[in-house]
Amino acid sequence: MLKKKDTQRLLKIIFNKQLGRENNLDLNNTILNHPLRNQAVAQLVFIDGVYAPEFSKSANLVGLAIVADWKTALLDYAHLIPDSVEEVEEGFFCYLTEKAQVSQLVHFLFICTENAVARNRSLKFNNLIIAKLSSNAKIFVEYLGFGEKQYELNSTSKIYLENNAQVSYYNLQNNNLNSIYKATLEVKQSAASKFSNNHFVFGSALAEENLNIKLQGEGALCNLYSLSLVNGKRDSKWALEIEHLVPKAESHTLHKSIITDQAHAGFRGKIKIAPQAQQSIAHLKNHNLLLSDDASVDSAPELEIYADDVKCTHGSTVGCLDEKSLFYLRARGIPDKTAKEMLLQAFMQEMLDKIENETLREYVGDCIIRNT
Amino acid sequence: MLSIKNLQVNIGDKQILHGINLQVNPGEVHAIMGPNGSGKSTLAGTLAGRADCEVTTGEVELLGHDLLKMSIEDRAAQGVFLGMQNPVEIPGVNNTYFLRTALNNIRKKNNQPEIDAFDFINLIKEKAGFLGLDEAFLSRAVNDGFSGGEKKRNEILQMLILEPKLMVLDEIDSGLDVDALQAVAAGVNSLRSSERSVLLVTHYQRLLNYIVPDYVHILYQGKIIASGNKELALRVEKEGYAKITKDNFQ
Repeated sequence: MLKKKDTQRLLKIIFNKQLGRENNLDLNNTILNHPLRNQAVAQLVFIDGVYAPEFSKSANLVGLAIVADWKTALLDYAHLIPDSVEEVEEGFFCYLTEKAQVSQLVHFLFICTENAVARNRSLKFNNLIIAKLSSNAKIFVEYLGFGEKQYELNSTSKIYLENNAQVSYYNLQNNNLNSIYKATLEVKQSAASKFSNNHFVFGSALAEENLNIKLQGEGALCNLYSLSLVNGKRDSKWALEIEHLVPKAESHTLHKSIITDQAHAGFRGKIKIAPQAQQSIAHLKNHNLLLSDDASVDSAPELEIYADDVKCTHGSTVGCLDEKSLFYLRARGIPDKTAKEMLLQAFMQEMLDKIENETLREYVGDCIIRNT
Repeated sequence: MLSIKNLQVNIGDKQILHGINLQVNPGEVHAIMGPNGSGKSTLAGTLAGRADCEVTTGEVELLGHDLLKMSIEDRAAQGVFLGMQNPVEIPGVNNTYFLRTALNNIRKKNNQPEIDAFDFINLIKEKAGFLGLDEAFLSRAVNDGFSGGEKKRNEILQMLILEPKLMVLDEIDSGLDVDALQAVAAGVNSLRSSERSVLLVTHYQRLLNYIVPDYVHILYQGKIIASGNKELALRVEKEGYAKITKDNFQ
């Protein structure tokens, strides 16, 4: 665990330019003036792979939820943790009690400084969210990396939703541009539960996201919206599997990538409909915008359907900015460059518009501006 | 206003316009009629600078300036407005923001002060009201999910805001019911003045009952084969294109 004097020392460290953020990393300022600091009902901060209680804040959630770092969870709440979760030392635990309605954001902030490398080249996190019967929460997980040194970050997250539970999950991956990031997200949904994931990938030299969603209760609904911005020589890989295991579950997936320079994006999305999963609804879309000749993309949306009464679609597009739209804007007097910016913004705006929380939407929007 | 001399245009390898000559003076309304595939939309697109309309020969002047040398956006700034037959849907671009950006870019190029967001809202609300367009459309994305009639009204709304000098309207009447047609025509007529001209491209005489032209031209196989006043349009309505093209096409 990070000691007080360590953080004091960290505060004094001046970092190089990275990600377009300010040259000097003032941890105190970054955390305390984070636009969501006041909005969030609880904020757990991790610095260089270690929980930092002195920067974290939690409100009184007694009776509603338990929000704890993983170490504390293993000590105090082991009885609530299913056996299947492996024991990694760091990460978070979020437990929503039956019928708990947590309307404000719960924010988990993972910061990596240049010291991450010295401390431990490979950082590991284990996260678990359990949403009991009819509970409801909004959870924002943010990775924020500073400096230019390469670190490696591995995270495994599991989210279990009981009947009627509702989890809105927001994920912003803004690691430094030399880092390696590998994340796995496993979601299990019971009957009539609702899970949404608004996911933004802006950082890392190599970013791999693996998502596995199991719809195992009737009427479960899952919405996955994600946007990757990939530039330089970076690589962003997205692998997704949604399993419809029971009748009448519904899933909607839209993954977008903007790829420029010599960057690469990969999308592998599979929807499996089990023989018994009649009346499933599943839509899977992947749209890619290539902005340079050397940018590349692999897209493989797949459907694997064993039931006969289902509504399923899948599709993928790869292209440049739409010429007809560009002509339309220019024909109204908007200069070529501005018109292109507007269309680029529009491509991303669709994903931003899906974030209901206004402060969070603005915050993610600002991150886009800094990254483009 | 507009002077077209021997305009020949290819799309791909195919020649579509075979030498158009047309003089439009300020204040005049010219209707271009013709059967499908005669080159009407190509003519309209060429004036606006559509990339696939490749000019092989000919001259086009707008108020004495060489129109063909101008970029698409410069043509708009000089006062050309193309009302499109199938306006494109642009999800993610807010209608009001789009129009304000357009107007201010045009004003900037003409050394006029920009209009701030507050004044613009009032302006656009007034114009939308005139066209019977619900205010909800202003906060939606450009043409996104609009019906055919709503798209056409939105074209006219843009025209009322941008106040162009040369209005080129490409089948602005297609797919409109009578109410929408009247609203669209009222929009066009409200802009008619001695300093503005209209080039109206249409299949049908119906539109010309609402927007009465000074001249009517029949375009056939990429050439203007007949010109006259509004009586010519009535003749087309009565006799069909086949008779007129047979009488006039050599």
